[in-house]
Amino acid sequence: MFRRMLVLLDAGLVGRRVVPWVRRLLVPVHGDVRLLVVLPPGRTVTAGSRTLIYADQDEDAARDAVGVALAVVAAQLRDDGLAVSSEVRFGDPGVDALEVAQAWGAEAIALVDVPAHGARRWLTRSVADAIVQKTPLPVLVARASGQRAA
Amino acid sequence: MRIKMLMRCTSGTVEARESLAAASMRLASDSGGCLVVTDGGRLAGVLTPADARAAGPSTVPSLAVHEWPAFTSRLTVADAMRRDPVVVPPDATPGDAAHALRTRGHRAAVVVDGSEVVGVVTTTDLLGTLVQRLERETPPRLSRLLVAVSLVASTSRRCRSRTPLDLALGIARRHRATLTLLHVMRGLSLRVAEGLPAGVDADVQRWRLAEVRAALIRRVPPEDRSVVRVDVRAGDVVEGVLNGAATAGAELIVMGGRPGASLVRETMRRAPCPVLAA
Repeated sequence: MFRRMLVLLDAGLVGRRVVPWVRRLLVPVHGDVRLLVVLPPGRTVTAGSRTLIYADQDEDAARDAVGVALAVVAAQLRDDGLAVSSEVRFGDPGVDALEVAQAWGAEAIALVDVPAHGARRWLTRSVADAIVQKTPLPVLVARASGQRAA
Repeated sequence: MRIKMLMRCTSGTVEARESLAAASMRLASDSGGCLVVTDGGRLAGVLTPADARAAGPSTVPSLAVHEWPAFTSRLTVADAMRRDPVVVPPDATPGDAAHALRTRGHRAAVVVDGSEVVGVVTTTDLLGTLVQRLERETPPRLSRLLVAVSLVASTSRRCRSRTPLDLALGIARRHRATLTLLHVMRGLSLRVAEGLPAGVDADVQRWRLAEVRAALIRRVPPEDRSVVRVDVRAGDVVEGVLNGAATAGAELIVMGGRPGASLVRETMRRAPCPVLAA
């Protein structure tokens, strides 16, 4: 039975749907949770020759916005007696999640599978698929909707 | 925990002489809310959706549908509200509020700071606190797990160190949960799986079924066998896992298989509960 679980969340925190399941799994073992949000890299916005927003400013704003919601999730888990840490990164969720899992020593990964629709469904692979395929760790996958609540 | 942390804003204030139909519409737009009723600026009562419903006509009436508005339009908030409402200060404890509501049979208390109404607290809000406290005292556990196992030795990277069955048994032990050990057999007649005779092959297939059951139970350590149930199904693997999970009321499916295999992906997409790909 694992105790250290990496929870991969998204910018809109749809991934919060997996948190109650993580809680059910880890509260009895007083587990350790790392909340990870991987956002797309910031972009520099220019208008003609003027730079309106630099990439790092864009990333700071995104980090602050996600940080507030992340703090709420972390506080709820701490109330249940879990040790919680959180991190916001910029890059590819499928790659960064595996890096963090290895560096942090995660024993399992939890995430919500958000399936793509339309042509993207056939052209791209979901983050859940990429992680399940690459990691040797157990992966807890919940669906964004249509599944029983914890 | 104090009431000021728990209370919610009221859905608004209404005068006692206002129409009940209009007040009910305001209540309907705010689920779980309630209205504070005043009479000439003084606190006169409280109106919850249940109070508003109770004052309306019976749902098995002799009234025709078109007669309902005529009946309800005559009613005022004063006809439906709870007079002499329970009043609590913001620093009261949930226990104080719950005790007052229970004693007087009310569903909502008005939170008053000095002479100013600052919010309301309903029985639903208090139940929420109770649930949180109970969950803290007794952490939520999983009670039913399902593990889909294959009798073929897996070449999965994950399975070299720990099989899905090991993982599921570890979780089941920790959570004191019951574990359904599911195996889906290809080539097994559906009728045999259901326990019905299937012609000349029936004996052979029953023998295969018994062998599989025995092989599955041998994989479980003796001390865990009392909490393990073996389920062997025939047909498509994904359908078998989904049906098995539904039958067992599983809260978590543990399954192995080749990473990224279509079986795991398809199960993840259609499962009624989360899937732990091990």
